[in-house]
Amino acid sequence: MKYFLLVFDPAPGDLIAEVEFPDATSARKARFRVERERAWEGRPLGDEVEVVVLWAESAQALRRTHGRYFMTAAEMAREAALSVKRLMRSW
Amino acid sequence: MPALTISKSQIDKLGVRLRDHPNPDAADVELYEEVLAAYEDALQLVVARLGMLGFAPTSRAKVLGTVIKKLRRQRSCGLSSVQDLVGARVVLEGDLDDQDAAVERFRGVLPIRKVIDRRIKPSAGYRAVHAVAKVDGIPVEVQFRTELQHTWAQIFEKLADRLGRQIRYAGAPAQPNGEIIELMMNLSTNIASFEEFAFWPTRLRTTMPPTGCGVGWTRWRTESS
Repeated sequence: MKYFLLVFDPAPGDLIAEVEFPDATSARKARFRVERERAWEGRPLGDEVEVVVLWAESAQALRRTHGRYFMTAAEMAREAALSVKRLMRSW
Repeated sequence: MPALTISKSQIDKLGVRLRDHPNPDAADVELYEEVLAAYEDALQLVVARLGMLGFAPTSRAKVLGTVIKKLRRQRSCGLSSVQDLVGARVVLEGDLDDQDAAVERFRGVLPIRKVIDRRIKPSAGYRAVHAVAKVDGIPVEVQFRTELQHTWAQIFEKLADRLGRQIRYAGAPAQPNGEIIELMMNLSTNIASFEEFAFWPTRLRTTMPPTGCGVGWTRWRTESS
């Protein structure tokens, strides 16, 4: 299992940081530190900025299940079209 | 195993303080972090059991800001009753029957307190099956989604980032974005109809439901099962 700390500004869709940690505890502590300071590498974070830790088998698995942090709406729509095509072929 | 150092009522009192104070007290934030650490231990166990079943879940704990917003939205809900403080997500390669089977397999490895079938009762267009497991009294919610349900949910979450997260709860179209919300609601219904029909086993597909497409399919399937 891998542990990813993400700092994400939803309105512009800006992934400010993506850091991998070896264990859940260090990831959680890093997250709480960023939440308390409301800053990332000296950059102040607005109230809407999300600081989240996600656990996944790989960065690729994370992108599949939590695409909103990594893709634009247009990219997601393209992915959706591919999913539908794949399903139609399997039917 | 998870070790909660405070009682359920103390957790609920913490929730009330977090909910009612505009800026949470530092001691309360620290206490919330302790609670979350215990919840994450429970989540580790759930993730391990899902792994035993061959699933590859991703997991997360709710951020404090989201928890506070939820407590303010649902004022009667105590912090200890929040079922998705920590949770896992499983995206299935399969159909609705596989989704049902996945939940049943999960039930075989952990006691499930509650199953929320959002295919029958969607939440602002969101469809999935959520199963809430209990690990030493700690609730852990697992979302089981088909690929199409997941694709829809991801796009809607992305829209919520741009239009405001209230669209995920209110459901009602908020002008001037009503058109796109309506489009997403229709897409959700169409996906449900497609999944009900297209992936049914042939033996069931040969029997026509009494109503037309759309929600009628879901109702018929539920009533027939």
